[in-house]
Amino acid sequence: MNEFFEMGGHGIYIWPCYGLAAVLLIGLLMTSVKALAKSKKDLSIMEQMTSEGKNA
Amino acid sequence: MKKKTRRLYIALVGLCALGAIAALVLAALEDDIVFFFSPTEVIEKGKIEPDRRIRIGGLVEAGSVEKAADGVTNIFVVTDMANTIPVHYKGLLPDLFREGQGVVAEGYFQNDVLVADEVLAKHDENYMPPEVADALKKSGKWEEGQPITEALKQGHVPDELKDK
Amino acid sequence: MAFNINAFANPKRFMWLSGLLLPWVIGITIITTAAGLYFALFDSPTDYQQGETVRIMYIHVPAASMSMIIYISMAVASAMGLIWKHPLSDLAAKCMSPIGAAFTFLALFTGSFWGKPMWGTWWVWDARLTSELLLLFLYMGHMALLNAFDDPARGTKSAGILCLVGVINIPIIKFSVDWWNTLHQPASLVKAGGPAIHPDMLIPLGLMFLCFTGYFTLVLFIRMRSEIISSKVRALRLRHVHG
Repeated sequence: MNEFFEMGGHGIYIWPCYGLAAVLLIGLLMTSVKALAKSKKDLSIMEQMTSEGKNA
Repeated sequence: MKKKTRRLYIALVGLCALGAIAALVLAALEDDIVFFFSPTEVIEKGKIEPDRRIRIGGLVEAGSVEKAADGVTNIFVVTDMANTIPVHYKGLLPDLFREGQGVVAEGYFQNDVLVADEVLAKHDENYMPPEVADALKKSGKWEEGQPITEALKQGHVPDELKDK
Repeated sequence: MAFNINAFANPKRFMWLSGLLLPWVIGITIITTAAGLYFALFDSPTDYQQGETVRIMYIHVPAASMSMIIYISMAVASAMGLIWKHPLSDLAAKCMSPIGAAFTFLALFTGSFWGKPMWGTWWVWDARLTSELLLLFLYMGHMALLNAFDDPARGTKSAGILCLVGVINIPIIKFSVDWWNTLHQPASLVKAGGPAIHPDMLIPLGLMFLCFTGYFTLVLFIRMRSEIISSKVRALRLRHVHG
């Protein structure tokens, strides 16, 4: 198992590459998903307000 | 002319003009953009001032690598198959450094010798497993530094090596 | 114009189509990520010259390709936005630049971590590396310009023009290794005569490329849907305030 992580002595160069890819891409995905969830929530609030406004 | 059509023409003409300008500028700056000069280009330049820092690139000539009498200076010859330049370098050589390998050496000329303070390895664009490289070399279909595209395409990869 | 571009992509139709495609895009991205990582890390050979470090290629090469493909897509979208004033194109360009910037940074970072053990240096100012760094600055400039003006329309226009001007950098990146002496080696994958990469290594490379393409589509869809919903919220708010 250790051998796998050492990657013939070059693990210290290889793993940061995969690590950064994971952090960067997952991070961007999460912020995008969060923004989408927020805008969906805002929309439902706005729609509710509008329909209440109409009913009043 | 409709507004949209006019904007389309402006964009097209603008991009063409930009491309032309970029091409002219890049062509004029060629000597500054190239990362290194080949031995032939260096020799064509004539005498290089001893205070001018320069990078040369080529292959390490086979059989040219040796240690100087001081035990730390590496001596080797960089070749582009037409001309050669001897290089002296004190310091650690990159892992990939060996005879036949592409290298870039940076430093100052002393007489006709490049006294380098940095040597970088330049590897080729071929990627293959070591067994395949050995097999290709043995079969005489390929030499190090040559393109492997044709050799790979013609199926000169031994079958027993194909599935690992 | 002979055809009406608006008929192909209005926001409503985009919401419908992207909603339809999203589960597929998610599925393809997950599958190619798992398979790509498996082959890249466990089931692909070492390289005859570079040993294990060849595994960096499976991140570096697809990331670098994406950095250029996304920029070209962004330039096409910007051009459509500038010329035909199509709002969805402007939106697409806006949503693409953070993704493109992420891939460009990834390509530069992995290149650096690959260059150190193989070339013997983290960075050199050769034509390939310098032009790819310029690409990162173009992406960042695009994002900055979008938010630089009080009037968003002005921001969109100047960012679009910057994007179009910067597209000249793309052929420079691609062909820098052929036009000038560089430390970076010439193209291995997209080149005349076909790839100079052994088939066993093309499998993880292709899978990671699909994985990144799927990821790009997924995040682009999410960001565009989010922007479209936000603008709907803004419109509703305005109507609400003004009665």
